[in-house]
Amino acid sequence: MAITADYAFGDKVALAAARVPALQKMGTVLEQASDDALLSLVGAGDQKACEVLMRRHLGRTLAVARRMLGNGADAEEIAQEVFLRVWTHASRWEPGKAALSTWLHRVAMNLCLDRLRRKGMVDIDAIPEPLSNEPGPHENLERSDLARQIDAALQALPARQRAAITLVHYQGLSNIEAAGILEVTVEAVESLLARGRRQLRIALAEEASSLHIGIRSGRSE
Amino acid sequence: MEKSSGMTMERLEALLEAYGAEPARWPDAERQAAEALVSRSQEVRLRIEEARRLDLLLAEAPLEAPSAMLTARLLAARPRQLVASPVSPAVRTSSLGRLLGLLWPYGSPAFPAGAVLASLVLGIVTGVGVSSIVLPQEHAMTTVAPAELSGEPGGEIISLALAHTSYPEDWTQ
Repeated sequence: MAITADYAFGDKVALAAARVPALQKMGTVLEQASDDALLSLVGAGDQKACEVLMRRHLGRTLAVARRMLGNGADAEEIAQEVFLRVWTHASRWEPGKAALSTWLHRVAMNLCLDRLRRKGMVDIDAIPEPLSNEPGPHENLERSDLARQIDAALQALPARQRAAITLVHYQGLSNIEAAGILEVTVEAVESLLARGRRQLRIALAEEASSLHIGIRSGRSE
Repeated sequence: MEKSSGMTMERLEALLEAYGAEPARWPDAERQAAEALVSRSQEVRLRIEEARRLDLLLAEAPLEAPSAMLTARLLAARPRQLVASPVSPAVRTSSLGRLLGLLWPYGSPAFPAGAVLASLVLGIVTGVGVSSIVLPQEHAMTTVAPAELSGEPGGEIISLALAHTSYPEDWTQ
């Protein structure tokens, strides 16, 4: 009897061990699957596909909202709204019709612009706080202060200029993709980028002058 | 004016103004010509240095990763797998299946069909049972009395006594 029980237990262990590579293989397949394939699985309620899709796109979607709104909490709300729409529409997604990445950027950007419009473009909470003199490691404080200065300069830009810089400079989209998302011409995107960068250069002139860079290496010295 | 495959210094400066010093951000169609001009021009170096300085500053802008709470909320709200319907696909795709689906879109039509069948059986059984009930003897005599007694002397009186409705006039006399 005991032998039978042990044998049965051994069988279960062997079965489980045999399934591990299969599950690992399935995970690898999902990681390499196209967005279209993942979306069809998401529509059918596959949790793993949802996880892979989030790992692939949630960070970049959040980044769009973070650059546009200058506030982590608001950015998470926007990213959540975007992905809830993905969950809702996944079963009706038409493969090959559009790139998911472009769709996510478009939805996130529209939600951000809507939110900024509703707030009248001026939100006291969204304006970064003035630099604090809190104690801490000198380098970290300097770095933190620099990050806040840059964030403040970005948030001071008109929303459309910030949108163009977010999409092209930070998200690495082409000018054509950015033009499609912002529903303007490529020339208009280029103009928004140039005006935005000019304003940033003026706002960050002091920080830029203290920055020593090597032209050949392209990195800080 | 220095020029390389249609790329002018003015256009290169415009690219640096809009896209920065990193060629990967330049428009695909102009990247190669712009890079060729950069490699041969000394005067553009200052412009590139300016653009790169701003690029490096912009790279310092803060950015947070998605929080664990956001990920958990989204996973909790993900689409759920529907419970498979016991109705076979063949039934669902047939015209009868589609009609049943319209009448009962909540899953298997077996449940409402069973309920209807049970109601029918109950109705039939009840009907048959009621018709086979034997009435009490005195009530039976009341109904048959006129036929049996009509030919005998005093039958009308008996019928009248039993209040049979076939002699209403007699009842008033």
